[in-house]
Amino acid sequence: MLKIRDLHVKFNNRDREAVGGISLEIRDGEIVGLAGQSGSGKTVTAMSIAGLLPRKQCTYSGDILLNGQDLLHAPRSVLRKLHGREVGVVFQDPMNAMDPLMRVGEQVGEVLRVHTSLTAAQRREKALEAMASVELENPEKIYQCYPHELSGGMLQRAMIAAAIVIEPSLLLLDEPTTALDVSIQAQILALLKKLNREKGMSMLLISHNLNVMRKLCSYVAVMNRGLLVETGNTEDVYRNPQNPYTRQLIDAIPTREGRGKWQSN
Amino acid sequence: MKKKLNGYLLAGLIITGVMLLITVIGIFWTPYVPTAMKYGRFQPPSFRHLFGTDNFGRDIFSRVIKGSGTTLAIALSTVSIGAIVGTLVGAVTGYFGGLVDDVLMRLNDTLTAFPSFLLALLVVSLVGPGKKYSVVLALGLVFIPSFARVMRTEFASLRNKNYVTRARLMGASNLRILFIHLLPNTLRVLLPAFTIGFNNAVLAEASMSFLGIGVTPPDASLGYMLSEAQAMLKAGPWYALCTGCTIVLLIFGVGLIGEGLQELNREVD
Amino acid sequence: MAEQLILEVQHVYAGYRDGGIFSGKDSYQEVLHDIDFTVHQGEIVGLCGKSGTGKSSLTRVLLGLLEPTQGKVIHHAGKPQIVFQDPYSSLNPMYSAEWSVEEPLKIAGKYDAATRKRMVHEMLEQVELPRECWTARPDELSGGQRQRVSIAAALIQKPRFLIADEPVSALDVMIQAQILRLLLQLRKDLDLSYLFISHDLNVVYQLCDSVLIMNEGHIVEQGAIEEVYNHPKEEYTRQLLAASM
Repeated sequence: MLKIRDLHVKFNNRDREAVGGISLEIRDGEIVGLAGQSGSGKTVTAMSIAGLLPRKQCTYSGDILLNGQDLLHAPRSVLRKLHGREVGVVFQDPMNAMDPLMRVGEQVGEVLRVHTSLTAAQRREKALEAMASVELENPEKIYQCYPHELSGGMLQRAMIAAAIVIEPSLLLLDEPTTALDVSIQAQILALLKKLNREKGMSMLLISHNLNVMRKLCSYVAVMNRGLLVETGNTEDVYRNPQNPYTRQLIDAIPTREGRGKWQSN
Repeated sequence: MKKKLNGYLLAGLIITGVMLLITVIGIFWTPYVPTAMKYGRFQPPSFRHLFGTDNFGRDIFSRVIKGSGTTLAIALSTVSIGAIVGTLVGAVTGYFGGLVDDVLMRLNDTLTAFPSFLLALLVVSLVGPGKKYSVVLALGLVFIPSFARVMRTEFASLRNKNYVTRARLMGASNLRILFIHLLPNTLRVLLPAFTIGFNNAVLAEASMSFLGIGVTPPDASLGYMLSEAQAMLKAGPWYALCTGCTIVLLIFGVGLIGEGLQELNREVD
Repeated sequence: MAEQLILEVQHVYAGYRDGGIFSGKDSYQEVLHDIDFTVHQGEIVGLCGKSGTGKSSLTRVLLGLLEPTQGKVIHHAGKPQIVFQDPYSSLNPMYSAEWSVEEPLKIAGKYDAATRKRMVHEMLEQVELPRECWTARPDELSGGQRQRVSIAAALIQKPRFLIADEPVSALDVMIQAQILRLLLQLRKDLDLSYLFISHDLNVVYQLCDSVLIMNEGHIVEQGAIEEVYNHPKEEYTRQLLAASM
């Protein structure tokens, strides 16, 4: 469904390539994880898919094909249509991703206003449906709220609702749980799993935490310094990492077993 | 924080720099004696007299140089009074809050409520018109409230930063927190505000001198000269034109610097 | 384990008073109820709970920024220092790493310039900040490096007790592990005790000797780490533990 072939991205003001030639595929209904530290190029990869690359400030090559359509080289006008429709994005910090002066419900339905010819009433109907499907209690009431009236977890649910209201073929999740409390994190992950199961939506999850990926992704790709260093089934990679960098990344995860692994001698 | 010059800043610095240079040279040397009335009345601009001469036969270019000096001096000292007092008021109210804040800011509101021109007139008439410092004092007072307001917001937002909490825990005095920790962080707001204030001061001085309550002869500021030029708009239009353009250029240059500084802030964000 | 007491918190209640002289209202909202615990020398005590449960208010009480309405806080080993979560706002953006670490010494006014410089350099080496970063300003440093500078600034006056308020929550796992290793190393080298505040129960499990579980201003459960994690007594603790598996 999504095919990335030999993607290179280099920012003009940097010496090193941010992404140094990666290839990745996501099949229909699959959740793929892209893991790595900050600065590993995982966010730049996501930006390339979402069409958020500042094209004038970087050089890029390779292909990104979504259902056969080119996402990397197509002109802006084409991209704008594609992105709202086909790719939904959920960012790390829901507080910053929302317009503080606009009602939450309107923001959920906003993408419909741009990309469909639905009437206001129909859009409202769709938005409420989406909000119900992300398990926001009492969507009618939350529709009328402003972002500051909601908790971080509720806002992230609303963001997910906004991303899926138009039923895109790919949902791009950039550290969707990092800014949230642990107990809320678990709920959001469960919700994403449910959406994937019920709607068959493909997802790309970007995170620095492989433990999060274990709960969600069937397949995982590990990035370091702009390159893919390891790919495979999440459980296989987690249990038996081949690459030393992957091993470090897994070692760094705080877990409930092997207490004292960070104690020096 | 890498500071890179942007186009605005560069252009502004060049324009303002050249004008400053000419003005400073003008303190010691001008092409002609600015007060001498012996160069022939109403000579249009030529290579001998770049800006022509006036009704008394004085060289306008030399007078504009001197006048710029006066205008610059007045504008700089006014805006400095406004900035210094305003920053102090803003720092105290924004940082401490509470009763001091309530009292000082209500006072500030009262000052703002007066039409600024009326306030300036009042001060000039109290101090006695015709003295150079009465204009400075009057305009300085007018500029305090806006600086105080801007700086108060800035100090209030900075005081909750964790590094301030930490400094307080270490036992740093309020004075040290205000001046060593906070003040440098307010420069990004203070400097652009200073340039805007400077331009307003140039304009305000010009209007007051134009109305005859600013500087008095033999001192001449650009505003004063503009009011003189008005009387001979027909006989020597170049007088008003050249003086007016100098004011515009001065404001334009400083305005560009202000714009450039704000652009820098945006880039950093 | 440890014997000597570092911190005693005895039945502390605290809250915030709302209103000013012009607003006319005057209401008191209690956010901490009957907080009671101790920290011993060399011990790392974890403080867990969701956001908005009073963890930061407790920090403010321990630092002396908020007066308890009842109860007592006794510091047996001098004033604590703190490392905040957000390394962006805990360092002054206008000054270099060296400056930020030296500032507490300047304020204390006990050392001459040469001694201060030597102490600062020793400290920066101890937190393993690369030498080329010493003169860098915060925006030229990475999140992990900034947190190292914050730790150095907190430890420069040789406190015995450090409050770490979510010090690794804003960092990615790799950097997080490095900072946690550093904290453990520093505890050994400098004989420190920590109150380690975190919403991540796994991090607390790896790092701490004992744990306080907080909910809505109460400490609902406390004890040795293995005890609480393996045999939680409260339903709330069980839920929290389940959520972070």
